[in-house]
Amino acid sequence: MARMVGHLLRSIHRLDPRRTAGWVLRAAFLLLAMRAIAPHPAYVTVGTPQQVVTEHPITCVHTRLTDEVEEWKIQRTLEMVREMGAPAIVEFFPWPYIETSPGNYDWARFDRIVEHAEAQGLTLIARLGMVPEWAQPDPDAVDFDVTINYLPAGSVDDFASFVEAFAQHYRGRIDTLILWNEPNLAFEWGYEQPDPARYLALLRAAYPAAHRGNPGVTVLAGALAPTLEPPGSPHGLNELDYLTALYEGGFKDLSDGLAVHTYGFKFPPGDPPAPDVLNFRRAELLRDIMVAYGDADKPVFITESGWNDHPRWTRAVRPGQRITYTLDALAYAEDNWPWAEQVCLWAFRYPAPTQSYPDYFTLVGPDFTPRPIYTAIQAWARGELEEAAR
Amino acid sequence: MSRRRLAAALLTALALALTACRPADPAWARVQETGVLRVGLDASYPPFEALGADGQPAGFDVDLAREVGRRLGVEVEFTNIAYDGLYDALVSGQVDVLISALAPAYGSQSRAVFSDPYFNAGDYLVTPRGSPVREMADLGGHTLAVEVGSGGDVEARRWQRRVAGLTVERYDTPAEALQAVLDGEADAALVDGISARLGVGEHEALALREGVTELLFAAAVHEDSTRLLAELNDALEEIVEDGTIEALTQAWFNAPY
Repeated sequence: MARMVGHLLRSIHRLDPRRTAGWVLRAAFLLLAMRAIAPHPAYVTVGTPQQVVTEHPITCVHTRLTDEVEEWKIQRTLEMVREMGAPAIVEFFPWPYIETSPGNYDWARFDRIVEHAEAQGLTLIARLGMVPEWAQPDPDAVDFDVTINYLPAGSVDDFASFVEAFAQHYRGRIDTLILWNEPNLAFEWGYEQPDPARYLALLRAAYPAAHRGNPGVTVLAGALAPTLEPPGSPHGLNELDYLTALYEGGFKDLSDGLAVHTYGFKFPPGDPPAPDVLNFRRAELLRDIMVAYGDADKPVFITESGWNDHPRWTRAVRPGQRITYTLDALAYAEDNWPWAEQVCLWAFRYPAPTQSYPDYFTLVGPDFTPRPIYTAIQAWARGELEEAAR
Repeated sequence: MSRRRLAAALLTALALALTACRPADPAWARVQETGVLRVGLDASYPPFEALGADGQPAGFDVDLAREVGRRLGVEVEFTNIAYDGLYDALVSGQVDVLISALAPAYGSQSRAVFSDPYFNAGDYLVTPRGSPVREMADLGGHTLAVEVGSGGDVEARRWQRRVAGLTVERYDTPAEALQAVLDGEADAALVDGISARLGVGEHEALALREGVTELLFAAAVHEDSTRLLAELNDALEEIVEDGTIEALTQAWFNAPY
C-alpha cells in the first residue's frame, strides 16, 4: 500500500502543469455553470403584522424551528400556529448555534425566527440549553462520552454569559426564558447522575445574568421531566423530590416562575394526581410544593404537555381520545389552574418524520397537513365548540 | 507514467481505501458461526407478534422470521423486548435483527438501517363485496367511515376537497368504522391496513380495495450489518415473489396481501 501511494504521489508530481491548469479551468467553469442554473431559495418577506384571534389565550404550542432549514417553512409554521388560535409558543434556542466561539454571537438565523413570530402576533418563550464544543472537554482527553448536553462545572459561567447576552439581545421581544431542560434526567446532563445542587449552581450564575441582560425578564426554571425514577437511579430523579431539593437549596430566589412538563399518557385529564402516577394533573403536585415553600405568587407555565396517539407505543391513546383529552385538559387548566399562564402542547410539527412514536405528538405533518387534532383545537380556540354545545 | 497508468493507479488506490473503510459485519459473522439468527420483537402487537398460550411468540412476523431463517440456513431465536427498547437492543448487539412491524425510522436516534419493506400498514379502502366503489375517486356522492383523528381521517379530509359529494362519518375506532359499512351506514371505510385486513378476514361481506397511503414495515439491522442486510433483502424478495408472503397474510389475517 505504501509503495502504491508513493507511486501515486510521484505520478502527480510529474503532471504537466499546463494540462493541470486546463483541467482546473474546466472544473471552475463547470462549478460556475452549475451555480448559475441552481434554483434560488424561495424569497420570503415577513409580511403584514397579524394578530392572534382566540377565545382561549391559555393555548400554546412548543414549536421545533431549530432544525428547520427553509425560511418559508418557519413562516408557514408560525402562520398555522396563529391560525390555530395559540397566542404563544415555546422555542428552543441552542447555545452552540448562537455563541459559535467564546464571546462571538451569530444571531441572524434566530433574529429571523423572532421577526416571523412577531409578525404573526405570537409571544415567544425561549428555552436555552445545549453546550457548545468549545465549552466542553476534548472527548479524547476524558474517559466518558461527551454529549451535547454535558456542561462541565467550569463552563457554568460561560452559560450564564450567554444567557445575559441572549436576554439583552432580545430584551422587549423575548421576555420569558427557560433555563435548561429537564434537569432531573441524566440525559440532560450528558448522562451524569442528575443532582439538584448542580442545577442550583447553574441558576445561581444564570438567573442574575438574565436579569442583568433584561431587568424585565421572567426566568422560568425547572422544566422538570415527569418521571417516577427513585433516588439513586442512574436515569433520573422523580421531579417531586427534585423540586423539593431545589427549594431546600434556595430555589425560591433563583426563579420568577416554574416551567412544568406534564403529560397525560394513558390517563384522561381529570385523573386525580398522585405521587406514584404520571398524568396530566401531576402538575398540581408541583404547584403544591411551590405553595409549601411560600412561592404561591409566582406563575406556572406548562411548557410541555399533551397526549400521543401512536398505534403501538405503550403510553399512547387512540386518536379520538387524544383530541378529547387535549381539549378537556386545556379547558380544565383554564377553569381550575389560575396559576397557569399557558399550556403549551408538545409539539407543533417536526421538520421531518421520525417514523416512530414522537410523530404522534405533533399537530401538523411535516408537509403542513393539519392533523384532526389541529382543527379541533382551532375550533375550540375560536369558541366554535361551545357554540355547537349550546 | 502514462495517463492510463495514472488513472489505473488512482482507481486502485481508491478501491483499496474504500475496502479499508468498509466495516466488518460482526452480526453476520456471529450468525454464520453459531447458526442462530437472534430476532428481537415486542410481542404485544397481534397479529404480527404476541405471546401464544405456550408463552412463545407467535404471529405474522414470527413466521416471517422463521421463513427468513430457513432460507438463510440458520435457526431463529426470539427475544421479547418492550417497544421502547427495541433499537437499544439492536444497537447494543443483544439481537441481530428486529422483525417487529416497524416502520423505518430515519434520524439520529438509532444506528439502525432497514430492509426492503414487507408489509403496507397504511390506510386501505374497504367496501361491501360487489360495491362499485373500488377506489377513492369513486366516492363521489357516497359516505366514507373513518376513525376520528386517524391518518384515514386526514386522508378523507383531503379527498373531500377533490371528490364532490363525499360525506365523511367519524367513529371512535377502526372496528366501528368497518361496522358502519356492514350496517349500511357508510358505503366504504378508510382504515389502517391492519384493521382493514382483519375486518375483511372476519367479515366475508367486506372487500379490501385500494391502498390509499403507505406505512411500510421493514426489518431493522445494525448499520454495520451490511452483509446480513443484503442476505435479508434477498430472502425477503424471494418470500414476496414466491407467494409465501401472501400465504402468511392469509394465515394471520384471512385476507389478501
